[in-house]
Amino acid sequence: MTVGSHLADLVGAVQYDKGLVARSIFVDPEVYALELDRIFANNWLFLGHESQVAEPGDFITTYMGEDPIIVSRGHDGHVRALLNACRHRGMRVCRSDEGNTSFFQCPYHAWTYSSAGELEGVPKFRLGYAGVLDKKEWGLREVTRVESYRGFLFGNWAPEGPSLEEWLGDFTTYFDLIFARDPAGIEVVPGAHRWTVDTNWKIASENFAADMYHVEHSHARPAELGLMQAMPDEGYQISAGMGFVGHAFTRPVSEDAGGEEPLHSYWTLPNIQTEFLAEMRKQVAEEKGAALARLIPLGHGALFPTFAFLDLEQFRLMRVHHPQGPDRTLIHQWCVLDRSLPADVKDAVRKQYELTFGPAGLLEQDDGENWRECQNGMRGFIGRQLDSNMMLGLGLEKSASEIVGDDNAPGVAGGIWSEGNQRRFYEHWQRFMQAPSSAPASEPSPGRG
Amino acid sequence: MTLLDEARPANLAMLSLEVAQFYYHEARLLDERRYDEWIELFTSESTYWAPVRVTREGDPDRMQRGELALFDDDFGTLELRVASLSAKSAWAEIPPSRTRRLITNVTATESDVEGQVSATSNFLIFRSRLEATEHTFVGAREDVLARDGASWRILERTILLDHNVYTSDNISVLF
Repeated sequence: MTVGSHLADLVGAVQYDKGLVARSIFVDPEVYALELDRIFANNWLFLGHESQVAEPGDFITTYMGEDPIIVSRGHDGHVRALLNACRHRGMRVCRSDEGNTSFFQCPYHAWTYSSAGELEGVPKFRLGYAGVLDKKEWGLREVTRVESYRGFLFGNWAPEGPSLEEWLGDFTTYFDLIFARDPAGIEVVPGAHRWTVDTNWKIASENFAADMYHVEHSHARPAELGLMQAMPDEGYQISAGMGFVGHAFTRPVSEDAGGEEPLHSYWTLPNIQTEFLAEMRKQVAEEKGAALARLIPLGHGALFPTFAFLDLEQFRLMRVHHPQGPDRTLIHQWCVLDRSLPADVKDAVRKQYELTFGPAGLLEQDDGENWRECQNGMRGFIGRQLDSNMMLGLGLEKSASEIVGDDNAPGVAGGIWSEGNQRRFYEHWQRFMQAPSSAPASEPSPGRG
Repeated sequence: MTLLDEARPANLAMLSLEVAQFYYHEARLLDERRYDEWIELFTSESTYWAPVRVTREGDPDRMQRGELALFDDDFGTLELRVASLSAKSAWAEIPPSRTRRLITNVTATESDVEGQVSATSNFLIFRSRLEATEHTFVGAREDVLARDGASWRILERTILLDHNVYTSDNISVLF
């Protein structure tokens, strides 16, 4: 079916109960324009980790949809997300990736803002603006809500709607197993991999929403090199709240090497964190039970719409897929470490990440090629009228508690060979696209009549 | 400082020319995908490092070991990268990209270690694949080379790509 300018057409774009998704939603500029409003101005979007803005004056820059954003810890200690656009002519007032500053000054006409976004300096204020300009009303536009979960900062333009924790919902169970298993928390390796892929943002996001199906063939290269064995048929795909995970089940090492601790055995890269993860599992098992602890590391995962991660025995990464038009995605990706890891292990984990992921990674190289060519195959007049087939595991889904073997495992699950998560990803997409926007997209300027 | 300020300008000029010839040979091996010959230019002790370039407020050129890199390889992982490019399932390079490496601004100076030189060069790598998928990579390299008969071995290579965001779907080329 075709999605045109009429919203009514969107009703049938995603038929998740049949495993059908209209390809026009990946290529149609009008659908994309609506996404910037209904998806990107009405959801919790990942901004960064608190440790990246630890001190007053620290900032990082990112995007929410296509809007450039400064995440800044003000000198009052409070973290804000500010639209990186001068209120005078719109120029980006901050053009660095990160740093520490006491003010943001626009290079164009020198309007100057505090690290909290307040307009503090306006050249010719008395000579030219006397009695006309109220500086209090012309601070940098602040993102309506910024909230933190386990140190992960998210922003949302919508004034109404669920809190971040309510929005995450049951997914917090899995999020905690990935990012909060070390009581000391996580740290982010300084620096980021940043690159563009000529594909729609949903292609990248749904892949991380746990497309286990692609691993064996897309990533046959590491297997050919002896870094990976054939995938086992036992595993899971779980959707809960706004999140998704999927991986092979851990196997007891006793099946492989005589030990007692579980290990994801399809990788044959050195498992440098094995001892540490075994200790984490032990601690988590005492608190949450052995079945949930045995999920660590949890594999592929994502939060709707654009935050994603990979949690493996060898390393862990987090990333965000910023849309740059219907056919381009900007990826920001970081290597994430448990703070309690010994320094030499941290270094080895970073190097395994760099060998396999990032734009030059032995696995990730092939993803970029594949996603670009998906876009090329869907772009044409006929191509965009077809449906994508998301039927894998249709009718075979169970409760996550049944798959995991623990009543405390929330959500809906398929086995490892399932696209249930992708069906629910597009179900979320459809729901947001059909709901009226609550974002204050056109909040009037002071004085506008 | 120019070469003329050096004590042995003629020798230095000869050295730079010799190193440049070595780099042209190396570029040709990569452009012709003769990876088995290329890896022979390294030793079992070689390092291969390409830090990411971060735009830091007030500190734009700080790069530090231990921070994120595109490559932070020893000989073992560099061998894996080379092997991966010849794999039957290297989708990013099947069919292979056409690449052209332009190596310029070569300088070489004797190091304090007998038989070793420090060399710098600039590169522009053009990659064209399939129909009109085109990527360009630009940067500089800082090498420590060791004389090996009539040729050289690369002991240490630092690659400073000038890109902050790579505008390429992947980076399946070597530098």
